[in-house]
Amino acid sequence: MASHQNGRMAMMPLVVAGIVTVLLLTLLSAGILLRQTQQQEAYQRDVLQSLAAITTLDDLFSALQDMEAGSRGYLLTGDPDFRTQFDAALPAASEGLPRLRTLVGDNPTQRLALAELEPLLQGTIAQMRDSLALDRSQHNAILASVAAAKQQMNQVRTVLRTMSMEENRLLQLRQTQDRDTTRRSQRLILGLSLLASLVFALLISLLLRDIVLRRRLTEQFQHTSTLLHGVADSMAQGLVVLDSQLCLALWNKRWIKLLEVPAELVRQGASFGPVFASQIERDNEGLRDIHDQTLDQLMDVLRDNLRTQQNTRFTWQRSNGLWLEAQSQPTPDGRIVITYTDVTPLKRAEQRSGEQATRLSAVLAHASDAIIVINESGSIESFNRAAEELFGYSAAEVMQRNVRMLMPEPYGSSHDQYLRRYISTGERHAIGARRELEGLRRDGQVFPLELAVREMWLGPKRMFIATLRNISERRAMERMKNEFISTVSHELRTPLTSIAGSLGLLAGGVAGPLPEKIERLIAIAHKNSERLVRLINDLLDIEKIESGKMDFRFVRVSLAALVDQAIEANRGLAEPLAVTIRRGATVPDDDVLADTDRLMQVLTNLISNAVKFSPRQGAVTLLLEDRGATLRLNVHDDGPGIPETFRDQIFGKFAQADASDSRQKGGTGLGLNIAKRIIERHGGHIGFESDTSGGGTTFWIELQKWSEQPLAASADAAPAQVLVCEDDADVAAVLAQTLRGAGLTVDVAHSLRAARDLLARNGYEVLTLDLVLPDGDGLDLLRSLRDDPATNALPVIVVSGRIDAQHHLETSSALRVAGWLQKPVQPQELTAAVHSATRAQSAQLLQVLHVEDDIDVIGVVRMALQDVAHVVPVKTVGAAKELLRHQRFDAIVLDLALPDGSGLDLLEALRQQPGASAPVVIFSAQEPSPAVAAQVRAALIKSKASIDELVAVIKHHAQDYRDRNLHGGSEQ
Amino acid sequence: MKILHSILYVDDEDDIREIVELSLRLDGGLDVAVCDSGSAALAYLEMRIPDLVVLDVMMPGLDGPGTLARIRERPECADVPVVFLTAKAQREEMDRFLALGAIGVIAKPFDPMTLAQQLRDIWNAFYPD
Repeated sequence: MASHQNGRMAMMPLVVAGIVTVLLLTLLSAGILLRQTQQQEAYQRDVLQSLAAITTLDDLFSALQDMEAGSRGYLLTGDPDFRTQFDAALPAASEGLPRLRTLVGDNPTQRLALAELEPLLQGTIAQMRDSLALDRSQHNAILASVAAAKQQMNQVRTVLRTMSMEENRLLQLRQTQDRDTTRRSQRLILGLSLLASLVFALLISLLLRDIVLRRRLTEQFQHTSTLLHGVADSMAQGLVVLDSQLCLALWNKRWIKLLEVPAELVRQGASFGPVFASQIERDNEGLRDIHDQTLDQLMDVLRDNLRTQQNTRFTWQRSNGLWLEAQSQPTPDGRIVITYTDVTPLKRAEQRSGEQATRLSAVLAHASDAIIVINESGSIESFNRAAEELFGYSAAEVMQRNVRMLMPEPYGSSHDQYLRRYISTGERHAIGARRELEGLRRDGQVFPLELAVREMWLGPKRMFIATLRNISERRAMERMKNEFISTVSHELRTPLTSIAGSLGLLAGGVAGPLPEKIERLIAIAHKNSERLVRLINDLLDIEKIESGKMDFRFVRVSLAALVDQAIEANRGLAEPLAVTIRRGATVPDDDVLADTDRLMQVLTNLISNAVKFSPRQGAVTLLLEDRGATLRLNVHDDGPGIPETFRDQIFGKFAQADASDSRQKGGTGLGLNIAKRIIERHGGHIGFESDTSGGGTTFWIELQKWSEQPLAASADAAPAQVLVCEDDADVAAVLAQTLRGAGLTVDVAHSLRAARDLLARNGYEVLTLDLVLPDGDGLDLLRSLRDDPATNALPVIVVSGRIDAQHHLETSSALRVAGWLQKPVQPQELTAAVHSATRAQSAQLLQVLHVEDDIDVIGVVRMALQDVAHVVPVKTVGAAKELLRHQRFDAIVLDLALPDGSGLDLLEALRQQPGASAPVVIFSAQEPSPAVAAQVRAALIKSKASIDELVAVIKHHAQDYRDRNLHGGSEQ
Repeated sequence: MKILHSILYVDDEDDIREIVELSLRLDGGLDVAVCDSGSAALAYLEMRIPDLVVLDVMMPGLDGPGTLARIRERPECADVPVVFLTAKAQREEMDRFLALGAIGVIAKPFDPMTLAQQLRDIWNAFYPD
């Protein structure tokens, strides 16, 4: 609009100029025309004059001729007719001159000629007259006069002719001039007319254009206006626009509807005041807050807003229950636009979510389980009432503090560890599983608790929800159960002691010889009472095994010796049945790692079974086989064999082929089950071969030989190297043997110095560390290991009694202990811990540090690498440097443009680290200079390299680095 | 080598006392005295010190370990060797009894025909040649 106005403004002078021009041109034309007419008239006059002159000259000449003729004639003839002719022509001649004078007087040439003529003419006329007066007799004089008259006449004739010619020339000249002038005028006028036409045309076109434009603008304006009104009316919001005087300029129907504006107040240009007032009056409940202000004050506020160009927003509830939000926005051109939005659904949702939140927090508050929410670094963010009760802290006291304050050592540190390990490697140890550990109350009381931790994401933030339960009761129940069993067993055993005891005495003949019948009955009773005893024992054993409470004390023992012992112990059983127990001649001398009592239990069971099922006079044969890495003991009997149908259940509970049969044989049905469990705990195998067609039965057990060498290499990886640091030789031996049995190569160090020595010379994959050593505290070694980049990542399993741990472990979070084992160490736990530690180390998952501030890039790279690497992202150089001090990586992916500096700074820091540092792959938008590129393994440009390429490069270098460092120690 | 001759057996259960007495005397040829409680045992020890005291663990009032402690307190019988006889023969408990100062632990139910020998074995192990 504005530019068009300028156009129009520019038009005005143009139009004016145009009109003026046209006028001028017209005037000019008129002027020219006028002048031309005048000139033409002048020319016309001149022409006439010239013609007249010519005529006069002719007349004069003819008059003169007449006079001449007359005079001549008269003179010659004396005819009076000639005199009459002369007289008649004389006046004409005499008049001719003055008339001539008048006619040619303005012409200098003619005047000269005239001057010449006059005297001639006069002379001629005089001459002629004179001649007439002559006597007719004077012939000579008459001849002379005639001759003279002729001569003069010739002269006059010449002059007259000259003059006539001159007049003709003038005439022609004038005519030419006249024509030229006319033509010129014509052209001028034509030109001017054309020009005028053009200007006129231009003018017309400008005017036309102006008109068209104006029409179009009008159309547009109407169109825009229609659009505006259409939009305003279709808006979901109510709209009212006030002009600078706070009068209604524009509004929509919705506004009227939403605010129930009285129709009479709604008019173009009406003041907003009354509308506002009616609003306040009607909604006085919801507008309570502004009630104390007068209408004027409120209007002033609006005016003020207009002046300061400030927006305001106001929400209230209308008398009809709707919630409205009014937003007033002043516009730069001096208007206020007020929009009204129905926010009732929003308010309701708020209320509902508020209710929900209240309900949720009520749920949390009333939950019987303690629920604690922690963030990634372990800080407590939420602590419900049950948690407060459980731990004796108020929520305020624990907020933002690390959750490990709620656990005694070593659980506190291991939790920290687990959390950190999960976050950096994704390895779930505590997360998603239930663990039993201990809690520490505010008053120092330690209690058993069950912990279940789950991960949750609150938008981008990762949180962990821990549900804790005080399991003291459960523990108490378990204790009670165990006590019950223990008590019951005692209670059962006590009377049994009496029963079995008396019967035993009787049967043993202590009370003297018995009559046969009595003896038989006593024998039956005695046998069964003994069976009861065995049953109780077996039940207790089963209970222990099933609840995992059977403790094994493994020692190095000669299997052959144990076998001999077992044979001896069971001779008494075999003799009455006339069964001989014999042993094979060749006896391998190897030792095994076993719990002697329990292994004896197994041997006894097998032997007694064999004896029971042997035919009378038969023999039970025990054979020890050397099978390279293992020893196998075969217990053979020539009994009936084990029926096919029974073979699957033989190691099950209460498994007896034939109820009657076993009752006779006195078994409990639990023996083999227990034996199997025991052998399995020994890391061995148990089995049988049976032939029901007379071949007898052979039960066998197979145990690992005790050996200093690795016995069985695992098929997949090269054997791990484990260093056992333990001063107690027996314990060390057991640990070493256990691990060797699991296929690992083991070195043993009995002191810190020995350990340091070995560590310096070799690269180990796992270290088991006793804490109390003759030459110092195991933790000191651990600390120095963590400080040394070469051993920084070495997994360490601490083996200790708990008391020590409590003292030391406040500081152990940075020491990253891979596992805690309490003495006495159960072999399975040890092997499991070592395997898990080495697996974490040599696992396929590479550790990659990604220094990058763009979250999207981090996300993409992480996902791309998820199958082969665990990516730890950091966003700044500072954070990267810090992390690299504590943790080792297989590769570093480096962006160059970072918020706190350039990635190149990190390269510098890496170069200064001792030992070979992880390979660096630059992944940046910028292309690094050749000098920089030479320092890194690879440099990829973000826009050019594909993610696949990046992944391949990282994998290659990281794996290469990992492989070179895994089995090489410190040499590069 | 010191020979085991006399035994004091302490147990609140009458039947078992009878069996033990029978077993040790008739089968083992040992001199056996019996008491039915820890305090009775202590009273007996004021009068006579046997070669070996065999204590039941679970007794009302002064139990086996308690009796042992009291025995050890009295200079006149402080050194007498003690063996526990108990139905609670789980390994940890046996270790505990040994830790308390007993020289051996025998489990109930026991075989009355071998009880004497078991005691002799424990005795011989304690007093080797």
